[in-house]
Amino acid sequence: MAAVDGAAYASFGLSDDPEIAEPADVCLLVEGTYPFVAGGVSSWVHDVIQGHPELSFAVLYVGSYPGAQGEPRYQLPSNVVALHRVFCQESALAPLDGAGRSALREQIRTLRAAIDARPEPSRVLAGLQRMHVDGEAGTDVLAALASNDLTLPELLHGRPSFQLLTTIAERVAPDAPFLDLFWHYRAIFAPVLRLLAAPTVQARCYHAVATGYAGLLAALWSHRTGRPLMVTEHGIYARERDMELARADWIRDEVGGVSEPRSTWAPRISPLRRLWSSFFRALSRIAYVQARHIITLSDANRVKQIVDGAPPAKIEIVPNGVALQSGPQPPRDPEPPAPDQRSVIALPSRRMRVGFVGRVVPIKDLVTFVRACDIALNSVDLDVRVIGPAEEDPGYAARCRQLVARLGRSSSIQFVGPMPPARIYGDLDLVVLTSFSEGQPLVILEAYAWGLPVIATDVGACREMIEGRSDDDRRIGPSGVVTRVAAPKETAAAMVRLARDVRLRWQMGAAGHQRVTAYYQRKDMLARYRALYEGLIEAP
Amino acid sequence: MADAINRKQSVAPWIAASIADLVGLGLLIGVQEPWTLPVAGVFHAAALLPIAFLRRLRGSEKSLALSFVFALPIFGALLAVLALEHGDGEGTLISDLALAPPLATEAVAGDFGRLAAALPSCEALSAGTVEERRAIIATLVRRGDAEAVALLRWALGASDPDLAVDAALALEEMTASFDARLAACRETLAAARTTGASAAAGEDARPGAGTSDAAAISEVAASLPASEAALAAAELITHAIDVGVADPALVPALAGEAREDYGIAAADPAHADAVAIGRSQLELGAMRPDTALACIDAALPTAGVDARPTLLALREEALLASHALPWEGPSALASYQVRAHSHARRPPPLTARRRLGLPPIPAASGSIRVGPVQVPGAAATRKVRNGGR
Repeated sequence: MAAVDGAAYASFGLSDDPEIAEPADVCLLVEGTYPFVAGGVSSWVHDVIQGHPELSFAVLYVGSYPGAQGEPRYQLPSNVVALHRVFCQESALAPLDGAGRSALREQIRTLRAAIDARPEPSRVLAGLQRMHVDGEAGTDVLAALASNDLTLPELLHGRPSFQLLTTIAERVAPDAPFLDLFWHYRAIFAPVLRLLAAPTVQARCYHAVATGYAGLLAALWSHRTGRPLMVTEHGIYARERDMELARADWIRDEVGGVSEPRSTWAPRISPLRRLWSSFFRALSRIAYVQARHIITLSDANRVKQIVDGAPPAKIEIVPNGVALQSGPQPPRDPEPPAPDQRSVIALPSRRMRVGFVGRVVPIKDLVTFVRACDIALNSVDLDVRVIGPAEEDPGYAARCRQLVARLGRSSSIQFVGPMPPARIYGDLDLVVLTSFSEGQPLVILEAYAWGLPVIATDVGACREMIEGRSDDDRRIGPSGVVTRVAAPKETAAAMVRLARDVRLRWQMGAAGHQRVTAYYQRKDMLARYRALYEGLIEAP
Repeated sequence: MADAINRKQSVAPWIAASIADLVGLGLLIGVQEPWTLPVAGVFHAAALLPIAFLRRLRGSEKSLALSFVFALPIFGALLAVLALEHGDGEGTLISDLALAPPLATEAVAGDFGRLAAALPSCEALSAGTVEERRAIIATLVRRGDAEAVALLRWALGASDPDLAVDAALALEEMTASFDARLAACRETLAAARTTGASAAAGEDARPGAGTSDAAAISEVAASLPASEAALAAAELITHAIDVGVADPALVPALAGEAREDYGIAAADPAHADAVAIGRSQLELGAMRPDTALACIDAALPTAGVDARPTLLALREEALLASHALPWEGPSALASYQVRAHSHARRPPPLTARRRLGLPPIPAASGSIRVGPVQVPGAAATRKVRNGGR
C-alpha cells in the first residue's frame, strides 16, 4: 500500500486507522454530500443509517479538497463507527520562486531517471487505458487499478504516462489541442490516483450512494477485500456530470455561426467535453460491473442506467420512503365543498398557502417558481413561502430575493429559511417544485404524508410520483399536476386552478396520502435495504 | 482476343521510341562532336513521334505516354506501357468526366449527408446526438442574440425532456449573466453619480476617499462619468429586452430604468447619437413603436453622419411595427394593456399614419390592407385561433 498524502486523506475522530479498525457492517461511500451538505441525498443517508440501528456504519466522504466541506450538518447517529474523508485535490500550492523552480527541475530529472529504470510497466496506467480508452470495466481493470503501482509524480512526469496521453490524443480526443489535453488529462487522472492510494476501509459490505469517484473507490475496495458492493443512484451520476459539462465555461467549443449550415459548425464539439463525459461514464461502468445490486428510484432512471452499461439483471427499484404520522393524515383543507356547489368561482375562504421546499440553488429553479407566483398572484390571492437553506449559493439567493422585490411581491412571497418538516407542511396547502433535475424528491413524499397536493416539473421520478407508476397506482388518481421545466405560465395556471378549486385540491391531497401509504413508506424502504444489507453482509 | 492482337500490334511504336532514344544516346557517347548534342536532341524528339501518332490511345493516355517518353529517355516508353496497362486496372484512362461511371452509393450517401448537414438549427437540436445538442446549446448561449434565445425558447417546448432541461439551464445561465452584469452596471452608475455629486460639492472624490463604496467600484466610477455609466447600463437593458433575455414581467420596470439611464446619458452631447439609437431600440423592444418613432424623429435633424443610416433603418422598423395590430400577438396586446392608463385602453396613436396623411384604421372588425398584405379582421383571427385549439 502506497503512503497516503496526509492532506489528501483524513479520518474524522471516530477511528484513526481504517485498516486496523474493527470492520463496520456497512461502509457507506458518499460524494460531496453527507454529513457536510444538507439536502435530499444527505437526508436519505441519515435516514438509512438511523433506520438500521442494529448495523454499524463507516462513512467515507469523498470531497474536492481539504477544508472545502465545512462543518458537519448532521449529528452522526450512534451506530456510525467511523467517518473518513478522502479528497480528490490538494489545496492550492504557493507559486515557487526561482530557487524553488531550479530545485524542482532537478527533482523531476532525478525522478525521470528513476521512472525510466523501472523494471515493469505500471499496471495502473494499463488499467486507466483499458478503462477510459478501450471502454473496459471488468475485474481485470479493477485488479490493475487496485495494484496502486503508480505515483502522482510518475503520472505527471513519466514517459509511459505520456504515452497514454498520446494514445488518448489519438483515440479519444484527436482534435483537441495537445496542451489543453495535457491539463485535462492531469485533472482527470490525478484525483483517481489519490483515491487509489487511500487506505481501504474494512467493512463487511460496501454501499456507494452514487457512481463517480465514490463508486470507483467502493468498487476498488470491494475488489481488494472480496466483500460485496451495492450501488444506489438517486440521480444518474454520469448524466448529471454531462449537464454540468454542457455549461462548463472551462471547456470551449469552437464558435460557429448557428445560421451556417450544420456541417460547418456541428462537428466543432470540443473533444475535451467528450473526454470528460467518457471518463464519467467509465467510472459508472466500473461501479455497475463490480456491484452485486444496483438500486435506483424509478423506471426512468433504470432505463438510463442500462444505457450507461448497467447489467439489467442487477437493477432493482427501491423507491424512497417517508414516515407517516400515526394514523392517516387528514388533508390540509377543511371540509371540501359539496360537488353541486363546486365551481371555478368557489374561492376558498383564506389565501392558499403555497410552499417551495428545498435548497435555494439554481438547479431548483426558484426563479421560475417566483415568476409563476407572480403570474398566479394576478388572478388569486396566495401566501407563498420559500422554505429551505439559502447559504449554499448566496448570489443566487440574492438574485431571487431581488426578483421578488422588483416584481413588487415582497408581501406575498417570503423567504423563511429552513424549518423542521412538522412546521413546514402543517402550515401549507400546496407544495410546488420547479426543479431542473430531481431523483425522487423526498419533498413530494413528505407533502403527500401531510395530505398536500404537489405541482412539480417533469423531471426524474416526479411524473410517476404524481400520476402513478403501475396500473394500481394510477387508479388512485393524480395527486398533483406535472408541468414542463422553466414554464412559469403552466405552473401558475396549475396554482390558480388549485387555488380556485378547493375540492380538486382536497382530492389530490387525499390521492397523495393514499399513494404514499401504499408505495412510499419509510418502513418499506428500510425493510428492503435491511434485506439487501443482510444478504451482502452474510455473503461468503 | 482481338484486343490482345491489337495490343501486340501496338508494341512497335514503343520500341521505335526507345530505339530512337538509344541512337541518340549512342551518338552522345560515341561521337564527341559539336553537332552531336543537337542531333541527339532531334532523335529524342523523333522518339515522341510514334507515340504522338498512335491512334489507339485516347487524349489523356497519349499525354501521359508522351510525358513519360519525354521525361525519361529510353525507359520512358516502357514505363508508359506499364502505366497504361495497369494504371486503373482496366487499361484505360478516363479522358472525359462525362464518361466516368457514376459512384452510385457513395454519391447518394454523400448527398444525403450534405442534406442532413444543412438541417436548420432547430432540427439539429432535436435530431442531433446528445453531444451535438449540447455543443449547439453552448454555442447559442455564447451568441446570446435574439435568434439564439428564440431557438432556446423553442427547445423548451421540445418533446424530449432532456433537451428541454438543457435549454432551460442555458436560458437560466443567460438570465443569470444578465442579472449579474446589470447589478454591476447599477453599482458603477450609483458610485459614479455619488462621485460626481461629491465633486460638484467640492469634496474629495478620489478613489478610497469616501467611506461607503467599495474601493474597486469607486476606482471604476472615478474614471467613468455618470453619463457613460448610465449609457452602459441602459444599453445592457436594451439588449436584454431586445433579445428576450429579460424577464417579461420585469420589462416595463426595466424599460423605465433604461429610459432614466438614457436621460442621464443624454446630458453629455457626445452621447446624443448613441442615446437616440439605444432609446429607439429600447422602445421597439418594449413594443412601443410610436415612442420609438418620436425619439428617432427628434434625433434625426441633429444626428451625425454615422448614426443617420442606423436611425433611418430603425425608423423603417418602427413604421412597420406601428402598424402591428393588437390581435396579432399577445405581446403587443400586453404592451397596450401596460399602457392602459395613458392610452385609455386604445392602441397608441399611429404617428406614422398621421405623418403620411393616411386615414385612421377603422375600428370595425373587417379586414384591413397594409401595403400588399390583406390582414384579416380581429374577429376572423380570433375565430381561427379558437378553432385551432
